[in-house]
Amino acid sequence: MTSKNDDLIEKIPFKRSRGKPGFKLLILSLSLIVFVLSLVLVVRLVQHKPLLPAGESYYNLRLAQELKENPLLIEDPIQNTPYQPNPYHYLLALLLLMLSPSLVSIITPILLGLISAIIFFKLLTLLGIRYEDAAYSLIILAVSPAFINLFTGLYLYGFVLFLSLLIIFLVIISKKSKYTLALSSLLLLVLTLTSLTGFIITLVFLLIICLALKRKVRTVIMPSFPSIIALAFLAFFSIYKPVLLGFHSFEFRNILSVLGADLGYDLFLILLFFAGFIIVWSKNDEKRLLQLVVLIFFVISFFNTVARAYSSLVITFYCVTAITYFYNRKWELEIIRTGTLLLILSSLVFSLTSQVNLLIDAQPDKEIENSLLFLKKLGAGIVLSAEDTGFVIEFYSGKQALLDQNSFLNLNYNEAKNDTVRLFLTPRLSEAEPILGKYNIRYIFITPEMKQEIWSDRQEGLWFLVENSDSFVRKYEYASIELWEYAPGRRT
Amino acid sequence: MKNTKTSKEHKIAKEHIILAIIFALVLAMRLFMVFSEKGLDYEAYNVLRQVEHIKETGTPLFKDALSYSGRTFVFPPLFYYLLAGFSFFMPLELVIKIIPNLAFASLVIAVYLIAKHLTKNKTASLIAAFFSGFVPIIFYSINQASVYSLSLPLIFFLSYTFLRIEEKGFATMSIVLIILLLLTHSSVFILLISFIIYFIILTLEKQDINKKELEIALFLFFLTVWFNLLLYKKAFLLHGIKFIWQNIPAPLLSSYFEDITFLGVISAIGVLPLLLGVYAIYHVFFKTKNQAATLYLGFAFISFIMLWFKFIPFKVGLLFLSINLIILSAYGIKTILVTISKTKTPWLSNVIALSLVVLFTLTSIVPFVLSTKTDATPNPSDDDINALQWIRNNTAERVVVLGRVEEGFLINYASERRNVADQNFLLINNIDQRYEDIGLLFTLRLKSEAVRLMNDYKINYILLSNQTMKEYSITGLFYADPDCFDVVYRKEAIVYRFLRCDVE
Repeated sequence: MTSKNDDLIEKIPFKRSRGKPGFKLLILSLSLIVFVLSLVLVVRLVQHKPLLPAGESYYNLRLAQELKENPLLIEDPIQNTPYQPNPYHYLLALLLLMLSPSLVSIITPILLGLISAIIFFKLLTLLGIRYEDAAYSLIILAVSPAFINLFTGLYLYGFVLFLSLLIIFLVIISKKSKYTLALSSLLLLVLTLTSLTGFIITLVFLLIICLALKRKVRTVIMPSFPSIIALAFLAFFSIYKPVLLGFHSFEFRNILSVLGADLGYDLFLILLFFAGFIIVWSKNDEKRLLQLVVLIFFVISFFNTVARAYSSLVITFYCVTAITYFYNRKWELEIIRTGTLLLILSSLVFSLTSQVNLLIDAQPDKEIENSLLFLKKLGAGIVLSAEDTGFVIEFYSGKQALLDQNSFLNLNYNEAKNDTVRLFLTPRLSEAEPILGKYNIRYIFITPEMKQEIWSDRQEGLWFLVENSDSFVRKYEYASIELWEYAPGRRT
Repeated sequence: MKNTKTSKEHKIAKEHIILAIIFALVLAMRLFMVFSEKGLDYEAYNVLRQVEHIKETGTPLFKDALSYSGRTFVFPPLFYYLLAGFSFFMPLELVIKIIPNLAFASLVIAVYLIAKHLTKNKTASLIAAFFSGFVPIIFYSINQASVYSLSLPLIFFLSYTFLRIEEKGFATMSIVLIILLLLTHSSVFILLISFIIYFIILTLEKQDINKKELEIALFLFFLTVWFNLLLYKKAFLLHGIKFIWQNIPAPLLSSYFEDITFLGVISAIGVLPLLLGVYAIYHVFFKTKNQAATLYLGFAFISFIMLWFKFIPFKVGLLFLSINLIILSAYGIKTILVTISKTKTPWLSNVIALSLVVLFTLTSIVPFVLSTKTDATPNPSDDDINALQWIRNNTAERVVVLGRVEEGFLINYASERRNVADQNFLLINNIDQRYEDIGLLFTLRLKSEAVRLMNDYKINYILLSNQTMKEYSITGLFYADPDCFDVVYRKEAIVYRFLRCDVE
């Protein structure tokens, strides 16, 4: 199959690397990926921390557990919001039938990451990129912050990326096979239900690849028909609301991992990408349109999280091109060559270690877990805390957090967010009580991060209020974590 | 033949003698100014602590228990090591005053060498060297222990070795200078961006790019990005893109990053270097193509852009801009001198050269004299230092002393006690709040609020220095009644002790 496609593909000319072409390199790259992805989880396990770093993973795992009990779930039992069926949750629920939540948390992301990497490798070779360069791309992928982040937790976009790669791969190889075409149609449908943004990006990618491989556009249009029809049907006749997610304004904090972006680029990889892009651009006159599309997509990724996940894969090829160029180039100053290559190597290691460290150090820790398990034993009620702790609170305590990372989908999000900010900053009961009453808040869960970020480690605002008002009862305090119950007129 | 050689040697010696005289003049002028001022400026006390720590332990003070009552410093340490090295041969107070000025004066040599390479004209190069030594902005920023005193000459020496990279030994020198620069200050980024602009201009003009230059620039690029990411990783994470502005509190930001005005540039750089520099830019762009001049053109351009968009502290930006314009002005001077020497009155070129020096002296002397009178921030007075020494001798070791932010380093050094804040803002959370609170603690009238803040920052003593009283127009703290505060030292400066009272 590969050889047939090779005939259609115009090879992108760039200098050959000095390494021997071979299978060993691929195995090495894949081993590195497995090592990196498992490292975060293993270290967290050794440190007795909950396996998954805080965030969306806890939401996905909780819903998968709910679906395991009730596959026809129509409402999120904790958030009390309508539940839109998501194939990823069903996949996790299916796995939970066979494995424990811990095993699912370990195996699923690593496996998805590994398979995604293998498919990505196959795609690169199908697109005419040399075997060794494709393998080197996997090494770059292994140190990309976005890739590490996506596949060290139960993230939806990790699954979306995996599905997309699989679909693109199937479409490329399904030249005459109707079965693969049908399978790709089915997977596109699954992708549509998982992430509309992912579906659109996949379609765009497929179109570009078809143009690059000089395939008929029909090969892309046909498998996407069922998805488009299903999407229209669901939008009109069900509670399903197609929403394009992942868009945000341009902010360096969202883009650069060094500034703390969850799904960001490493600064060095961006620099290498630009270097590689210039090299490819200057050496390949015929495919400049394709390069331009890549550049546009890269720019778009600054404004969309899902696009950034895809783009993190695309840039690896350019990074490899840049590194290969620096390696093969005839340098006038040999010492500078050695120094530059060493710097590039160490920057990749730096990128890897910083991202791994961030994930290892990420909340929740054992103390947060214990405090939330304590909260679980208390009576029902809504919990007020920081927005990014919402999913963890809901997972461990089984109680609704006033705000979590899904709240932005709610209509009253801005109002609730503003009220929360006001509540956190007020030291007066007269100002706090109406807000507490408006949202039926019963518990206030204060973490060390909140103390630092909201109150600069000084007892101010709501923190001051709960300490000094009879309307609040301290329920738990350990390791700077505090749990208060709002109980007007009662002090135990 | 022998006579010719001797005459040539004689000429070279003469040129060097003039350069040495300029260097000595600049150094003498700077030292005169520095020694005519009593004591050290506020920031120098941080340098003193760092150097003393290096002398005692061999390492700089990266974890400081006194600054902000405990914090981490991140900085490249070479400057402090250099001063520590010299302090083995002479008293530290002298080192702090002499070495940075010696380094600043060496800029004259760097400018001469660059101008000579650029113009191949000794007269023009010497005039440029003279300009660089006496350009007003260089005296505005006569901070007694500024790290720029080392990084600025290093940057220009590096640009010089970069231009001569094809010649034997210059590649090695470039690498050594790159490493020294990285270990001195992160301002090397400006040179890096200038290199990029330089290559872009060369590409646009379809000129050949020297391979070695490209390689050195590439190496510098990767090394600088890598080193700074490694060094400032935590600061990046904490402050985000605001890191560029060094986490300076918002009210102070406008004084560090001022708006650039035409008059401001003229008074800082001088009319003559500015005009000659602009003339050279025109010449390089439209008349002749000079690769070396293109580099400084790019450098000047990027300094201006960074000043304009406030990516660089105002005075530092002007320093870079002025030195680059002076280097370019050498090109302008050479063009004028060569043109005149080709006329029927070639002797006139010497007159013109002399006139340029006289004109520069006249046009720059006025802003320079004015600047020494108005721009200089007063050094801490003896009374303030005595008050702090009293604190050192009469208080417990772990107490926290409140002073103005500018006095933070002085509190650490003279009293050996903790401060609430100082002028190194990096890695400090909620700096705006802290800065505002410090201001409030000197102006508040409400005792309850003051006591709350005192408790929040765990303050034990308040230093009301001469300068603080002047700045806030107060003679004492409004809220300091005997229930909560005790005046433990009262001379020209006042020291209050906080009695840890509770206020409802």
